[in-house]
Amino acid sequence: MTDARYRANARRLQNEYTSHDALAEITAVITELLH
Amino acid sequence: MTVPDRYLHLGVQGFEYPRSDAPANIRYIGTLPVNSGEVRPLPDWWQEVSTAHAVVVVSREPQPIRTSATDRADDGSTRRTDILVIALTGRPAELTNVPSNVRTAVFIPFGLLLPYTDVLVSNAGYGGVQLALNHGVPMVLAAPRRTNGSLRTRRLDRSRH
Repeated sequence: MTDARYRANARRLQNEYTSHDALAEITAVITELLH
Repeated sequence: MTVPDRYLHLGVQGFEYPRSDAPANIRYIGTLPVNSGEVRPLPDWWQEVSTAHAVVVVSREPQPIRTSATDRADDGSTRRTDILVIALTGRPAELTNVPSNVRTAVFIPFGLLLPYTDVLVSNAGYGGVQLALNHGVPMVLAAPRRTNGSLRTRRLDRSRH
């Protein structure tokens, strides 16, 4: 794998992580299940 | 895993093997915040982290680093004194023959450390791997065969593609 492709895939994974807000998503699920 | 209404998984789908039979109740939620608000005293050398040319963190979780393991891990650092190597020992340890550019600490919260980290050397503990991916930190991972760590290194290798 080329360095550029490796870096691009690392950025893709990082973006996937940073797109989440775990506490907000946990709160949303609890709210959803309680209603 | 099919019993709960929702199964919230700490991680992201891109890190997992593709599964056509994954239960529909799984939701990936990334990582939990690492700054809990708890105040821990930082080492005396902490200010060196922000001024170092490069920072390499050596962490062996969940087992603590033994003296011999740390010595081996830091062998290369003696040739690159412009690199600050931080060895997280996991428990108090009397380390000997520590190179001049190596700093040791029992533990430093990754939330503080990873923004300054250029490379993480680890045995692929789940939390450390997830947080490093979240911070975009390159990793050198090594774990004994047939352990959870070795499975994670294989999974990470696949997720690059």
